[in-house]
Amino acid sequence: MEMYKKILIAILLCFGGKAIAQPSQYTPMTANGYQMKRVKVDSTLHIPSFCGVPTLRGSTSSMGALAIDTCNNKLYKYNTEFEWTEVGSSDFIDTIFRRSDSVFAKKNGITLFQFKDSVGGGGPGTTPTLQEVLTAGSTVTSNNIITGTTTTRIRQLGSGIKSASLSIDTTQIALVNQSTNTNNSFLWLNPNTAQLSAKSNALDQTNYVGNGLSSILQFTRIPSTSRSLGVDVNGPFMQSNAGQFYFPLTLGTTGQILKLTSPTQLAWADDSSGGSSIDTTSLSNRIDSKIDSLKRSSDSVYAYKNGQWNFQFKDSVGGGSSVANDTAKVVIAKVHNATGTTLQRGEVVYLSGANGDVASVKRANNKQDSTSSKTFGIVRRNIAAGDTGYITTQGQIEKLNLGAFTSGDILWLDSIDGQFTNVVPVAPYHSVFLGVVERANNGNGLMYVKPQNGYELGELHDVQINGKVNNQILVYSDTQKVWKNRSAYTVIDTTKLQQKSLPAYSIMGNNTNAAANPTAQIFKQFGNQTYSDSITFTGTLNPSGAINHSFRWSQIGNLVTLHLTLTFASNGTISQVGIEIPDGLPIPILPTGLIANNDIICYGTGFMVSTTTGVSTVFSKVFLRQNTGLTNDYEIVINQGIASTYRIMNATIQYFAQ
Amino acid sequence: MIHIRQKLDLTNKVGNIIAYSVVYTKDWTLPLEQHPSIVEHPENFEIVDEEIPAHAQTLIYNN
Repeated sequence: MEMYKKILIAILLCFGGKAIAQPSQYTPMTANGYQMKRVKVDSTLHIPSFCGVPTLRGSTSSMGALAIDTCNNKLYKYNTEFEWTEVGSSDFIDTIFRRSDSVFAKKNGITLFQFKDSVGGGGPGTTPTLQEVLTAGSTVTSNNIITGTTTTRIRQLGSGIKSASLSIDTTQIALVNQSTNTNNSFLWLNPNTAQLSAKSNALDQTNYVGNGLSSILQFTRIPSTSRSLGVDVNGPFMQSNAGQFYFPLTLGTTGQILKLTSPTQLAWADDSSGGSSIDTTSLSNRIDSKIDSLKRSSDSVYAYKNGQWNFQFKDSVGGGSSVANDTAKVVIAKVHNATGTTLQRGEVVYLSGANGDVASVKRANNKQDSTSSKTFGIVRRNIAAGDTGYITTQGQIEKLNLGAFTSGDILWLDSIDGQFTNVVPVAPYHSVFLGVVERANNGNGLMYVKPQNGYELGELHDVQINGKVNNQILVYSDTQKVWKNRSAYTVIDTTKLQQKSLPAYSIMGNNTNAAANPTAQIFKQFGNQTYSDSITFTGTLNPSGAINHSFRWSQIGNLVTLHLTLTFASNGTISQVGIEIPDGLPIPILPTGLIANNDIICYGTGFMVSTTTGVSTVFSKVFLRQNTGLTNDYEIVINQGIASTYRIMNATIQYFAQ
Repeated sequence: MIHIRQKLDLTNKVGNIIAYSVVYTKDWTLPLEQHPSIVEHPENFEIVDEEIPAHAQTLIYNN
């Protein structure tokens, strides 16, 4: 095996050494008609052919080559720089050559200067004109100039103003910015009529608004056809078709003014009297308030009228004058009517906002804070809805309907929108003072206006009200320095006010030897009542006839005070009377050791007399004792010691109840 | 109920209540005709058999 390998290597070396040693040479082909693979040579040379762009095979890419596209009838050449390119392409110029210091190109039989070489100095050729460039078919894809058979257009397609173009043809010049013009309108100058118009479609004259005048320079609003302004370049007017407005372009004479000489025409006219000028005579007659003269004295300006100088105003120097009357009498304000209806003269308005640099107003009423607290003034003249007008905020206002009032009436804002009343509003209606009636008259009423808006309690500077509810009171916060609303029961120490109401027949008192919460104590007090309980006399004859018995009593704590009077028409002969304590009186408490029947509990005062005016000369002993024989168990006894004639008995006694 | 009463005094009767006095005889055991009030002052007292009105006043006859 090893031997075969050596034999094979020897054979390969022999062939390789022969190939390297053999010199390069061409073998003459003396006969006609030789053919190699893809090349035929006879009377002509047949080069390699393809259908389409040729391709290379093998390692001949470093060499030049030719091939033919038989499908498209094109001859291709090949080199390593450009590879396959078509011989004679229309993209190429036919030839380029240098003459003197310039380079020229020739194509289709035309020689064109291209550029100067580095030596400079120029040659017989010149810089081509724009026309030459255009004629040669030059185009520019960026800032291009495009020519056509009927239109020459200059348009910018790059950055900046895009799609803006100037189009020129035989009948018109159009200027348009197509990128911002949504309806494709453009400015159009008709070279034939010198008319400048706006149109809605490029190069379309159907929307042109003709005016019938050949020499009118006309501006038309697009797309509307009802608005245009034209200038008659040969005539005296500038014309508008909206209302046929004519403005004279020709100059007038010195001193003339423009005057509306007809409903549709302005014309130059004299400004002096007569003719079509201003009637200054009648104007002067209408101005009857003109002053005769003005003068400045000291720091004030005076006007002379009807033989008298009257102070008008102070100049900028100021300083005052002894005769000065520089106080404004009426303050008015320009306002905007923010309601949907006309504000009538005399209606009351409040500030509601602003519109167009003017304060807005609406009709005021006193039903809530929002429509009353910003009451501003009284309407001076009718103000249409959405319009502006004037109101009086302070001072006299006249020609009001005040026939329902009396001179001197104080006027207040009413609950009806825009109205006033002479009745003082009562809370919860808001009291807004408006002014006073100076003259009560319908149509010629006179009112002095000075609105004064009232304040809510919570609007005061040192009051802070939040969430008002029943049974709240105002309390002062020393830390916040304001009055605040608080529940009465959270502010007051209810532990010291144990009850808001007292039990029947009681007062609150402290029945202890130290400070303490008061407790309910008995308190009773009764007026005069008829006495009808048991009476027992001791003697030989009872007082008799008509009787008039009464008593009254009271109780504070346990102490009972009883005052009792018995009167009879006729005297009796008695030494003592026992009077049962009236029904309803508290039961006396019995002192220690005095608990037996008939034991005297306590003494009082009293008497028995025979006349209403007589003074008793006998000492009466009055006491309270227990008498279990009576229904009420206790009686008051008046004892005189010896019997005498009496018909009036009186006793007052105090005792402690159980 | 039979009892001794002080004869009615009609002074100022019109429009007013007239006092009605009954002589206390609870402890008297003899006939009422023998009671000192009848014996000594028959011009002032009398024995009647009528109902004693409410709130009648009492006289403890004691001479």
